[in-house]
Amino acid sequence: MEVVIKTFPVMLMGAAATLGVTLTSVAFGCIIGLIVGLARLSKKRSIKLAATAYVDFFRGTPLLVQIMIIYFALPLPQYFRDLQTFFVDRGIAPWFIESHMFPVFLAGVVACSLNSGAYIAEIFRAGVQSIERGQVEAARSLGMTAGQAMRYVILPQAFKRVIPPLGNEFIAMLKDTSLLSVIGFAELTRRGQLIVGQTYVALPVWFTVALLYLAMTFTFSRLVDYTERRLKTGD
Amino acid sequence: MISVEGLHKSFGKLKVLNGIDCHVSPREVVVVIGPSGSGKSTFLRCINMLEDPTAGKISIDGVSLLDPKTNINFVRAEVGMVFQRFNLFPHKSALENICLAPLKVKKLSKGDAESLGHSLLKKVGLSDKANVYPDQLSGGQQQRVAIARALAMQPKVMLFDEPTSALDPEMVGEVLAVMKDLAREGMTMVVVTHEMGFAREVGDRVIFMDEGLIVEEGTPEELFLDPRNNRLKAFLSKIL
Ligand SMILES: Nc1ncnc2c1ncn2[C@@H]1O[C@H](COP(=O)(O)OP(=O)(O)OP(=O)(O)O)[C@@H](O)[C@H]1O
Ligand SMILES: [Mg+2]
Repeated sequence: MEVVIKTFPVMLMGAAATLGVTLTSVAFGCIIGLIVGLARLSKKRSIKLAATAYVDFFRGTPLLVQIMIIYFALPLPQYFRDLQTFFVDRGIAPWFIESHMFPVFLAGVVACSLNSGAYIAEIFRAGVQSIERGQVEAARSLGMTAGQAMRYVILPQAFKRVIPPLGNEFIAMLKDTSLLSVIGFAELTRRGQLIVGQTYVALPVWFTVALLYLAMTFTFSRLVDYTERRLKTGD
Repeated sequence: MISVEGLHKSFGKLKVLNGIDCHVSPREVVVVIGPSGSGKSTFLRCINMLEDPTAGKISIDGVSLLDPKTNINFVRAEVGMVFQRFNLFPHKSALENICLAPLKVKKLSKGDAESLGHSLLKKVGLSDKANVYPDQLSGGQQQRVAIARALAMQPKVMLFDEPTSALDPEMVGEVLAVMKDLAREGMTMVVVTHEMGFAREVGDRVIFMDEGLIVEEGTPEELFLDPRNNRLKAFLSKIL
């Protein structure tokens, strides 16, 4: 118990890193997902094929392997180090990581963004497809281009419907970032490993780690439930 | 105003339109009737290219729709369409539904679009519903907003696809009243409907479609009182 109390601030820092890497990844994942999701609905076969291949690859292989590929197989660490110098020199490294963690943080964000981009692409695609055909037809019959119909009529309605699944994707990603411990990114799980390694106290530490995850996922799932209920009444 | 020649449309192997010839003059109101599946909706949808015709010629106000040089969005802006299921934008208020296309397609200023929107709401008798969302409106009110929305683009032609058949009976009258006003103002209209009263009152011509062809056409009196075609007779006996 003493160990838990003494190391709790360190674990909290880990939780902050977990939250930070998840938020960053899901934010980039949304951008990737919107582009890839719309590309999957494209009439151009080559675009559709490329987007489908992307989604299949990132959903069909384990995130752990994707992290390994990005961190070890690609010559990225050097590149990250350069970037790190770039950011740190300008004093704009994210607050939740120490500067020497920057390369692994970036590798983690790249891997998790690419991965969640694939899942979010499917969420957006399903959201757009769930809007009745009559909506596009009404928009087109008024002289809107396909792009205008998408932007002013389809997407605003689809965004509402994708908020709950996006929340679920966020929660899943929050847990999956524990995999970043394998490349040494000091998120919550990695902090737990380090503490256990140093103190030889396992069960209370892991239990606390689990509780911290639970606190985060629980908060977000309540938030998702709440927005879901609010959107239902407004739909 | 509308000229259709030899219009064919198939969905895969299913032949839906088998050579439609039809000319609609300016200010004319044409009522299209026919059994379910005869291709009435498909015919209307081809007129503003919501469906790609398989073969044939369509032109509106002299502009050929199938000419690759034609900007189809410009043509569509001049052809208003009213759907059976209203298809209002649920995330926008009545006024916003009406103003969206004038703002984004015609690039009207916000002030101009809104004053146009208010005047159209007044025309369809819904001045007090400007800020109400579609789910708070009755079916008849939604359809009237949908008509106002189509009119906001100042179309030369209005197409109606069974505009009252998704409505409760007590709401049919209010929508038909708006359409009759439009007809009297001289709007060119093609209306798929089984409201025979409407056809008699404002229809200049009635077209009977069956199996993707125009089988008989004439004034409402000719068609309803003296039908020649047997299938038309059978059809009329069912709906009158
Ligand atoms: N997008 C489509 N794909 C395949 N078949 C279609 C499509 N749209 C219509 N059809 C078929 O074309 C035929 C004619 O349909 P259409 O909707 O034009 O008939 P309609 O005369 O409007 O009938 P109703 O009175 O029921 O509205 C039907 O058999 C229908 O199933
Ligand atoms: Mg129909």
